[in-house]
Amino acid sequence: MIYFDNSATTPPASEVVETITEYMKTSFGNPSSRHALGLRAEKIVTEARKKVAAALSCTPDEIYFTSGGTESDNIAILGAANIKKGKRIITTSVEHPAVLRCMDYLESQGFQVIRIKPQKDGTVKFTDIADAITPDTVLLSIMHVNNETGAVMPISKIGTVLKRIAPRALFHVDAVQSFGHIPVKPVAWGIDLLSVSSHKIHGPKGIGALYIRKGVTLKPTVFGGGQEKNIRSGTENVGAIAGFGKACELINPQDSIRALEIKNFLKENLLKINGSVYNGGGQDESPFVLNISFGKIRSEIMLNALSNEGIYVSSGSACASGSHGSHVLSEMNVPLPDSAIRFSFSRYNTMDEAKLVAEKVTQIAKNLRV
Amino acid sequence: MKEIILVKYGEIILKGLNRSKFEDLLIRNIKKVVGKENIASIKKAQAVIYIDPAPHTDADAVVERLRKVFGIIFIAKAGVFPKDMDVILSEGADYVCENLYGVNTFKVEAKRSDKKFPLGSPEISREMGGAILSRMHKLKVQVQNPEVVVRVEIRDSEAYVYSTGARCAGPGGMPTGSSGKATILLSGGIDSPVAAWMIAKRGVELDAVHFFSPPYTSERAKEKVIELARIVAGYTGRFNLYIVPFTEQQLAIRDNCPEDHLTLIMRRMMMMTAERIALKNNSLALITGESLGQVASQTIQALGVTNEVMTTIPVFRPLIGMDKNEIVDIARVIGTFETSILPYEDCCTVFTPKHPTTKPTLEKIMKSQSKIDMEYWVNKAVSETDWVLIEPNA
Repeated sequence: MIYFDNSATTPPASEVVETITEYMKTSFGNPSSRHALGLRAEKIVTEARKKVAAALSCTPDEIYFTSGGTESDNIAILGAANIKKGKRIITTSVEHPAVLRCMDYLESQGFQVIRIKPQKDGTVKFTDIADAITPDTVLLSIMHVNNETGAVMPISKIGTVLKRIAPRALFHVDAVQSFGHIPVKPVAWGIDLLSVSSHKIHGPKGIGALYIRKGVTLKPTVFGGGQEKNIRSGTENVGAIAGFGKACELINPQDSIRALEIKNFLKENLLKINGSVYNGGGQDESPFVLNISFGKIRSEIMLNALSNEGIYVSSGSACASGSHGSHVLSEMNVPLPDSAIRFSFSRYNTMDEAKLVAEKVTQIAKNLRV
Repeated sequence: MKEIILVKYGEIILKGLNRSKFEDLLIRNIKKVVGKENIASIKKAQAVIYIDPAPHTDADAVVERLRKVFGIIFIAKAGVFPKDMDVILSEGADYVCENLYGVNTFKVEAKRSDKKFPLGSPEISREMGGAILSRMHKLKVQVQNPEVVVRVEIRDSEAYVYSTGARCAGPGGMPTGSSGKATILLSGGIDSPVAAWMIAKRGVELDAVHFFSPPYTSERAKEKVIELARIVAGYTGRFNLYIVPFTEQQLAIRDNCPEDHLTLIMRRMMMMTAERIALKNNSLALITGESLGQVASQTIQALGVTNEVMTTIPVFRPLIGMDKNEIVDIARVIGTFETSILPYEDCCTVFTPKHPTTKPTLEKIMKSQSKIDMEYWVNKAVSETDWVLIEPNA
C-alpha cells in the first residue's frame, strides 16, 4: 500500500497510539473529578496543552482543545462575528467548507462577506486582501495552506495591515494544512485566532485546537460544563488530547525537506505524461501537496485505477469528492478541473514509493485511452 | 396484557384448490422473516393468520418486519382479553383508546364466532362505542367513512380488540416463492431496484446481475449495488448477486464500433450475458428497469433492437409505462431511493456517446456489431462472473 492522501488524514504515529492506549487503560478519569484519578487526567491535559503551545510558539493558556479543525473554525468565526460591532467580514473563495459555510450563515444573518478570489496559481494576492480592509471590518479569516493545491497564502504580512486600518478587527487563520508542515507563528504574525487539527499530523481524529491570543474574548457557541474556559464545554477527550500532544512533540522540520524531494520528483515525472497540467505554480507552495490534471482522464477513473494498485490518492478534497467538483480549482480557473488528482505526503513516505507511483500513473494514463 | 398480531392476505383468497398451498407458503415466509424464535404460535382461521409473539419479543418490531412480507394486505396488533363483557368494556376500551388520540371519527365493528356469547354483534358494537366515547370526548361516531374502525372479535376462547387505519397496510402481492425465479439487471440507479421489487411482489424469487467496469466504475459503486440488493432482500429473502466484470467488453465495443451505436451494442451484450447467467441458474425471465422513452436506449426502436438478442426467456419491464416521479415514489416507499442517488458512476454512464441514436434499425446495429466477436466477449463475461450471496439487512 502506498498512501499519498495525507491531506485527507494521516496514519497515526505508533508513539501516538501507545500514548492513547496507555491513557485508556490506566488513567481514564474525568479531569473535572476531584479525586486522584481526575487529577491524573487533568495533568495529562496540561502536559498536552504545553506541547501544542510549544509547537505554535505560544503560551499554554492560549490553547483551547476542540473536536478538530471544523469546530475550531466555527468557534472562532461565529464567536468573533458575534462579539464585534460591525458587519464587514473578509475571507477568500478557496477556504475549506468549515469556513465557507460559516460565512454563508453569517451572510444570512446580515453580515457583509467579501470573498477574495485566488490567482491562477491558487494563491490570494496580498494587495487584494489589503485593499479590501476597511475601518469597519470586524473579521478577516484566511487559510494558511490550501488543502487542494498546497498554495501558501501571504498571511504573515496581513496582521499588521489589518490592525492599522481596523484596530478592533480579529484575524483568524485556518492552519489545518500548514501546522506541523511549515512554520506557523501566530504571535509573530499578529494572528488572533488560529485553527489546527491533530489527525493531519499523525495524531488521532476528533481532536484539534484553537489558538486564542491572550486578551481576545470570544462569545461561546457551545454551552455546558464550562470546560476549556467556557469556550468549548464538554468533558475533555483526554486520550485524544494526549495523543495530539504526542503528535506535536514528534513534529520535525526535516520532514518537509523529504516531502519536497518527493514532490519535486513526482512533479517532474508526472508532467512528462502527455496532456498533464500542473495545478498551482505560486512562489510559495507546501512541499506536502501536489495537484496535477491528467488530460481527459476523469479524476475518479484515475483514482479507481490507482486504488486497484494499492495506491491511495485523492480527487480534489476528500470532503467533496464524489459529490461535486472542486470549488478551489474552479475558482482558480484551471483548464482541466475534472481530471485533477491530489497527491499529498507525510514523513512516512519514501522516494521508492514516489518512483513506483510515477511509474504506475504513467502506465495507467497510457492504458486508459479516454 | 397479552397482544397478538393479525395478518390478512389478499389475492391468495381467490385461489381455488391451491389456496392452502399458498397459505402454507405465506406462513413459511412469515416465520422466515420474523424468526421462529420470535413466534410462540402461528395459526390460520377464516383467511386470517394469528401470530402469538414469543414472551420477550417486541410485537411492534414483528409488525415492522411483516410490512415487508409479500402476500399480506393487512397487519394489526390486537389486545387479548377474556370473554367477559365487563373486562372488554373497561380494559379493552382503555387499550384501544391509546390509538385514538388525534382521531376525529370512528366506528366499532363487532364479530363473534362464538354464537353462545350472551351479546349479539350490534349490542357489542353499541356498548363498546359508548365506552370509547366516555373516554374520548372529542371523538365522534361516523358510520359511513370513519377514520378508524375499532374491531371487537369474540373467538372461541378469548376476545380480540384492535383498531385499523392507514398504518395497517401490508405490501400486497403474492408470497415469495409462488411464481418461480427471475433475474434482475441491477445497475445502481433508481429504476432497477424498483423493477426488482415490483416483480418480486408477484411472488417471484430473485437473482440479480450487475455489470462492473473497474477502474471506470469504483469499488464504492459496487458496494452501493450490494447495499441496494440488501434492501430489496428485506422483502424477498436472500438471493444471489452475480457480478460480471465488463471493462474489456466495453473497451472492445468503444474501440471498434461507431460511437452513436455504443450504448445499444453494450446493452445487447449485457442482455445476452444476463440471459446465459439466468439459464445457468434456472431463472425463468429477465427483469429490467427500462421505462419507455426515458433515455435514448429506451425508445421503442431501441428496446426492440435490445430485445432481439433474447432467445429463450421473456424480459419483464414492470416500469415500462411509468413516469420517473412515479418510480421515485416507489423507491422512497421501499427504501432504495437514498442509496440509489449516491453519486458514484454506474456501468451505464461510462462510455456514453454524445449523440446516441434514438431510432436505430436492427440492420444498422447488426452491421456495427459485426466489428466485434460478440460470442467471444459474452462467453468471457459469463466465465469470469463472480457471485455474492445477498442477505437482508438486519
